[in-house]
Amino acid sequence: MTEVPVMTPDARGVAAVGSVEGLLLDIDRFAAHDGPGIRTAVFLKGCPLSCAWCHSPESRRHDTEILYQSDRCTGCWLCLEVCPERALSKLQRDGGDVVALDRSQCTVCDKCAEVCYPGALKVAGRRITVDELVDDVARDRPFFERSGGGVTLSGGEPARQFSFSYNFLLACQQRGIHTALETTGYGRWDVISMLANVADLLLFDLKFVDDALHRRMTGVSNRVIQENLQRLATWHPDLQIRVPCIPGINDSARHIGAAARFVAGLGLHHIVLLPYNGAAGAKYGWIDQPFVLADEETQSEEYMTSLADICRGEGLTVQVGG
Amino acid sequence: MTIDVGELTQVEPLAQARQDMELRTCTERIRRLLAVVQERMTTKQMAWCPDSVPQQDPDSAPLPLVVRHAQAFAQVLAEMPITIEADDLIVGNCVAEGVIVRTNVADYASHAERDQARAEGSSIGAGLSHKTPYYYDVLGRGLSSILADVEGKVAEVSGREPSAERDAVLAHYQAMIVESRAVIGMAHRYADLAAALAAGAALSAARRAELVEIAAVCRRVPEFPARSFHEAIQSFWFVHYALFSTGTKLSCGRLDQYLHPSLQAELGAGQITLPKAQELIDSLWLRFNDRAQICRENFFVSAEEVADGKASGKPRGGVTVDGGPSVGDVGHRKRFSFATDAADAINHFGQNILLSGVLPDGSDGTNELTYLCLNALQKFAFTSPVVTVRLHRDSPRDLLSRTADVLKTGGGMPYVNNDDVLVPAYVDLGVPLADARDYANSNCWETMIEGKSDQELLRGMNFLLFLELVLYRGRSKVLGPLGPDTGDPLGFTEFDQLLQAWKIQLDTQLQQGIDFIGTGLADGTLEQSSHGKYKYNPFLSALTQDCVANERDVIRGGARYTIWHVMGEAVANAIDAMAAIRKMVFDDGIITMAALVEALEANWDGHDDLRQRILARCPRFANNDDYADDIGREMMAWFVERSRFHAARYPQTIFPISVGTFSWYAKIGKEVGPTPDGRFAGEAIAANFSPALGADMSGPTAAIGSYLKMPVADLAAGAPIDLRFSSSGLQGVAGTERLAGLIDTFVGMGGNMLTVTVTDAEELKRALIEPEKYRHLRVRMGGWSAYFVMLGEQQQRLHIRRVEHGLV
Repeated sequence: MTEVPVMTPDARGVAAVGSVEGLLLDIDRFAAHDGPGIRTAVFLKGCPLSCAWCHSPESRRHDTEILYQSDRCTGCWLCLEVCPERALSKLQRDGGDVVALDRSQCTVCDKCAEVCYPGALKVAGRRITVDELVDDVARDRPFFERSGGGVTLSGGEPARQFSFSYNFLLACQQRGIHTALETTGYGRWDVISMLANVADLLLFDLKFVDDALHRRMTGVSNRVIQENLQRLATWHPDLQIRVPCIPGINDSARHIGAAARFVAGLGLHHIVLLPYNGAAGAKYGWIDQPFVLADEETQSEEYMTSLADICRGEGLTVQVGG
Repeated sequence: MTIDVGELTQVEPLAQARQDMELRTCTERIRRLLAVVQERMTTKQMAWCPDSVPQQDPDSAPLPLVVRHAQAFAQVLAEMPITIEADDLIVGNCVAEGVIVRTNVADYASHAERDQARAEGSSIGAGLSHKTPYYYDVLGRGLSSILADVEGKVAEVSGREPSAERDAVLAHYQAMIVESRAVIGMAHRYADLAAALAAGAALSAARRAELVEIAAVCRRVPEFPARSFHEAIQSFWFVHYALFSTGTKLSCGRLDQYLHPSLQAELGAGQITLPKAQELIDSLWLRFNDRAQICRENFFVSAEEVADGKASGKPRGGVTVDGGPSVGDVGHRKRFSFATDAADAINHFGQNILLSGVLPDGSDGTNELTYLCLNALQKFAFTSPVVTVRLHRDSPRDLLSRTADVLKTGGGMPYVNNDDVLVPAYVDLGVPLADARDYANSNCWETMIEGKSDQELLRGMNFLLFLELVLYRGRSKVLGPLGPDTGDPLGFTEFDQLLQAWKIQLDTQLQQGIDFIGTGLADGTLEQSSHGKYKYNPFLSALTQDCVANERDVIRGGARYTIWHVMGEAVANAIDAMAAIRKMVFDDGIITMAALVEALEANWDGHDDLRQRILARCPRFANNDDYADDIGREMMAWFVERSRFHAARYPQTIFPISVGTFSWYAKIGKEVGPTPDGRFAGEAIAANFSPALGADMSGPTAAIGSYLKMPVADLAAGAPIDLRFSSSGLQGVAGTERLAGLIDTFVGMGGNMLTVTVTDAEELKRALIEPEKYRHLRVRMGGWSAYFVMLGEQQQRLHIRRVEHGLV
């Protein structure tokens, strides 16, 4: 890993490059859980982690892919006719026919999704330039200004598309739009620190303090994440640590206590606890991947309050929910 | 935060009204009163009508009809069962043996008169809505002073040459006097009753003192000016209640403004505390809900029961007949109606109040009462009164936050009006600025000028129906021939020909509708919406500026402003349908017009692929997409332009326009066959100026973005867009501020009217299964809030679908 000196936290003197292209998953306007005020959340594709509880598994691959929602399929079979690779076929399931996609043959040419009017087949991921995306989100600027909101760049992991992410956030700042960056913190320090420079608010995920667990549940070590976090804590003006609370995985008093101590140890004073999003499982079927966690309900309000109390015990202020 | 008592002396009354959590709870007295109202909401009501009828009295038979109307009015107020119950502070409820009584005016016309009226295409009857008395005069001058004006006019008119016209004017004034005195008489009945109760045994000293005070208040108002806040509220309520009890169900205007001078004076003199003022407002709030009914079985008898002879076909005993849909001539053309539409309206009775807003001098009107009323709205969670907050660019941020805060508690109230748009829109229609600033909502969201208006609605500008008329050369699938033949659509080679044909259809309907109203008003032949040759409103006329001076009834040009609101309907669906045709037929050439019409003929049967393709691929209103929005803008601009053009022929009448549906989106949809936006025959249309079901796929800011491209600044009568949010997205103070920010942006960017509902589809589904557990669940119905369990099942299911699509 290349060590670079810490940048000054003001990169506004540099002009953003509007022609840089990125791979966008989705845009969510009036996003409720991604920072203060009225926000437009921009989700990019591609993530180096593979968290078992990930609630947008279709954001993991840094490439376009086909999603298939069988409950929307009306059985018109137009898609079978138009697929040039013959990658689609009929499959008997639960007493009805659905579409089976042979992903090894699929080139994501988009033809099946184009004719799928009920929206069962969709392409996840579309190419977009910084200029196009900024123009799109800037239409909501009056809402941002009057509500203390702005844009939140999320993923996947935005650092996975560094050049696009950097230029997009910078361009937003240059248009007077408040920027937030939602990150796993996993990436080279130069990349993470450069992105942190153009994020007015940094929403930093903290999953486990324990590295072995982190490796097992996310596929990567948390060493670099913690190093990045320690350094950011020394200079980023608005750094918020968010702990996604996963039932039976990291939402025990012990885990949350460890997280709270870690955050307090960084000299930070605030922690955000995110209750589990119970609706995650269905999306795995869309990309023919197994959801390894059992379907869990979101935690009760009382339980979240008990976790919040643990964090308060470590001297932190606590916010439950994004 | 609760402010401790030690701090209170330091806090300004306005800040205390806004912040003091104590004011948001019920006192013991209010808790008991609330329990009584809630119990009665599930108890069957009874109907009552006076025994004797004036025309049977030989002395009164020769009197003019208007005077007999007044006598019948007076008779109700003199004889209806009245009561003052334990804990009452504000009195005026019609109860007999614990059962709510719905009063009726006795028949005051002879059979011959009725037959004659019928032969003339008219009818005899009392009762109207959509107006507001000028309460500033009622509270500030008292009825005695208004009566003095009337008596002055009597003296003046009596001196004229005898003529039938003179006598008619004198009869009108005589009726005003009879009715006004009857209202004072009714107040005195309550005064006597309170005094009698105070003289009774087994009373606490405190209650005895209250009854003595109630007697004094009722002895004084509404006859004389209100001196205290208690007197002001009681005076208002007596007038509203007297009209209500005689069949005239009115909205109440700027309640926090006309009640405020008395509160301010008392606060200044240290004669009242805010908790006491809150208790009085709470008492009034409960009075507004005395007659609410939340058990369907207590309100409806089914069509089957009528057929079986178990119930008569007429409303009886407070029961309305659910007779299913019917088609008939309404106004200038045929229309659908449902008996069950009454269900969503019964519980607010058109009692609409407005809070805050710009005052006639241009300053902001937010005051203590604004917040006390919001407290009452929040704590009771009733559907009545309908509450609207008037906002503008200089509204205090605190008011926005408190508005958002109350909205988060559910029920869809308060609604938001934008003064920065609505006031100038009325000025454009020729209303002087000071009056325009006193605009109020009528029974629902539609606007008028408070205390100075005869306001009614011209319905039927169904944008989607007019597209159907284009496709079928002037024929409606449901209603038959309705418009001109605008050419064979199969021969159209470009989109503009289609748009042009649609414009001709709209223009024709506008001309017919506005002419129908305009000429009918001018020659006195209008028989529509409480207007008619034999309709009289003496008391309301006495309280509406400038009826006394003009010597005319409020509905015959007596009011300073005669306002007929012209409502554009199904606008979002029409935009979507136009955009679909443009894209599929003209721009992309995917199908021919003939193929599209064939699919419509089949109601999409066998054409599901085409329908799905249209739903998935055609641009729709509410996504901030210029393709659809540009079409909408052109349609709306034409609506604005042509309504002005046709209205210009009738300078005595103001024709403000709106886009809306109230709660009628199901029945408006019934009159349109399948349409190119993928809609099936008879399917409900979009509510108000909201996106069509399933059309808004880009979130609320994009929906507002599309909406703001429409000429909403020209829609003086209103253009509500209804948005829904899940409560999970608005949690905590951050959520409140997010919602406040949305409202602030809406106002700042020139939105017209906004309604916000925070609901949960799962809760509604549970209410469908176990209605008895969810009797108090409120939902928004396009124009007001209704108790969910009171809606018909079709409407309930539609509502759940709308909620699931993020619409309400």
